[in-house]
Amino acid sequence: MSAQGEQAVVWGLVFVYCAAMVWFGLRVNRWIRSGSDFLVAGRDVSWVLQGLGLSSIVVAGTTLATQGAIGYLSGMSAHWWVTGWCVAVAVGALAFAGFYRRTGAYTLSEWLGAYYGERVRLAASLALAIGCYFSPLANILGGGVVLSGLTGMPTDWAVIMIGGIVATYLFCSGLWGALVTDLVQWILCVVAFLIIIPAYALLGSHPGMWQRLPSSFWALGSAPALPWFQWTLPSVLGMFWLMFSIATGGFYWPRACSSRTVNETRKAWLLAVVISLPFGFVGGLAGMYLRAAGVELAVPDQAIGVFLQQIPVLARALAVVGILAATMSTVEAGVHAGSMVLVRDLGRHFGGGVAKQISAARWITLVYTLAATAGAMGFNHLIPVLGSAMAVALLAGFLTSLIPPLLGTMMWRGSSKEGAFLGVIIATATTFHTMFLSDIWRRYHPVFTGFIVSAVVFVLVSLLVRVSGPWWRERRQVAP
Amino acid sequence: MERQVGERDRVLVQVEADGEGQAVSPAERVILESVAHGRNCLDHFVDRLGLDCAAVRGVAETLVGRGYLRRRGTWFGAGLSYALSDQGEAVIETKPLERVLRGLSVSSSDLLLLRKLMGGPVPRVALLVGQEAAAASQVSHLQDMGYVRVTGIFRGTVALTKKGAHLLSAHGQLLDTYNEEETAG
Repeated sequence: MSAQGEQAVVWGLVFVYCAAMVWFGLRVNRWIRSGSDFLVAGRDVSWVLQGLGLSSIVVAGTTLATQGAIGYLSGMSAHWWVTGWCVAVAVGALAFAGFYRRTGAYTLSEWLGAYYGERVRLAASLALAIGCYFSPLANILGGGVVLSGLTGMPTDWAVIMIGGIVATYLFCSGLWGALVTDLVQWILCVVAFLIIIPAYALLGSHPGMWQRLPSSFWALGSAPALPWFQWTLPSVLGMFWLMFSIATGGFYWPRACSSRTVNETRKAWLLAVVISLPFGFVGGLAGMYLRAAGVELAVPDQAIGVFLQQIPVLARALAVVGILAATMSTVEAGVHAGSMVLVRDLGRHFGGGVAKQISAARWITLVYTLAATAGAMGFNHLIPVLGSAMAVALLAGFLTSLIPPLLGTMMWRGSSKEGAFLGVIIATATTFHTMFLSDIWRRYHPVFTGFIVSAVVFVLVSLLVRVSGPWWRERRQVAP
Repeated sequence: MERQVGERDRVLVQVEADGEGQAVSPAERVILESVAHGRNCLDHFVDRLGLDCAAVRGVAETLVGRGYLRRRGTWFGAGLSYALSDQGEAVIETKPLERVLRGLSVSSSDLLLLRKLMGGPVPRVALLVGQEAAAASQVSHLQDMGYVRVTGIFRGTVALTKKGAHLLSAHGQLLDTYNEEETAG
């Protein structure tokens, strides 16, 4: 088949996939009859659907490219990219998920507001809305770069395509649309990641080829060797902390609170862990295959692209669609979490009936997605190589400041609203300063500075308040 | 002859405030009644009242301040669960039959919902129309207690479990005993 014919096959499948996502969004729109249907799917999400959705979030568009690069450089340690998430979600399932559901709150900031008062709610919702903004930004950009590399289309156009499709189906049907498309996206991820890549890596190899790899390539415990990876996640423990901060710092909260029951929430998260783990152990195979075959790559990030060029066109097209699916499912999670904060915490004073609430939720979701798309294009031009890694750092940096006050609501009766408010505000300002106004980020990742500042201020101020008494009065909200 | 469903439930739902000085607002009443029926978690109150978590917790904490509720749980549950205090028990004056049924940990509306399921599984969405949040919470409460099961990946179907059928049967027997005693009295 000619090169043009092969491109036509790839683009044909991409078009069918995009059209299907929009169709699902329009179709599921009829299930939306209230704000809670749009935002938390009427708290009617089965544990199976929830687990598959979480798994498709864990497996992002950049997963295959990142694992391919790590696999090329250091072999099986690429699994940490997914295993780290699985450990974070497993801890979340056992310690946090049930709690999230039992609060009844739609967002983490709503719960912090219920516990500590309105000021904390406002501070937390600002940190959460800003932090979550960088999640779709990172994934739209990462997925756009990968798609651009695989299809030859300009990165900006790939970014616009991903952002536009996600915006369309989320605008139509909110969380229901996200969950239904997640199901399809997860199946496509399985085809691309668990079937195509390992099948061609194993079928295309010959006996003895794998023995050319250094023995360290088969070690599971070592930290991945990748320059930007070393900055973001200096150790396996650091990587776990980053993922834990994102998973428990409010990003997954809206998903947990949409489950049918507390028990189903836990089951869903554990299901996500079990079905996501295999993705960790096959992603690096593409890079390892190239290394074993003696292919020299100047830029390791190209590993997955080079690998896919060597497989039949239909399999390649399916892999491209799988990567696109993995990207979109992770993008929508960030959009949903961030826009929910804007609707529920910052926009709740809008009032109005059900129709107005749904309308406000739709438009805020649309604007949030488009803003993230524009941000992804901006990052692509301003920070060409490290754009996605920087965006993930910002996401984790802002979200990690919410963990100390959250833990305070769970296990420390001495925690105070003053400590929570000042901890979140000062840590948010620190993250902003670290990333935008200084070069501290080159030495210290914001996920560590943000958490340490928030925790220290939270504990010290709370202890001071026990001596001094309350620093301000909080008007208690009562039902109308 | 079997009594009508409506008449049975009329007996059960007569929960009233207890005299002067202890009047409670509608939102407070919802929470007190919910706690009286074994639903002590914040998520239920939020869904039932359709308000945000902060507002609902404000009501619950007001009731704690007035001595009607007390907080339950410490680690990993602090501030999520409540129980009736002695004073709260006094506010919720219950009929003798309801006191008997308290052990079943279901309310009259739960029993109504369970009866709807006696004819066979019902699409969950059909139960939710018109009162989505409250019914969703009701179904999840009954599911947690094992009286119903929800099946289906998308918008599920609700069916009565064996335990749920036994509950309805026990309720019917209690009601008959109660009515016989009332008649004899």
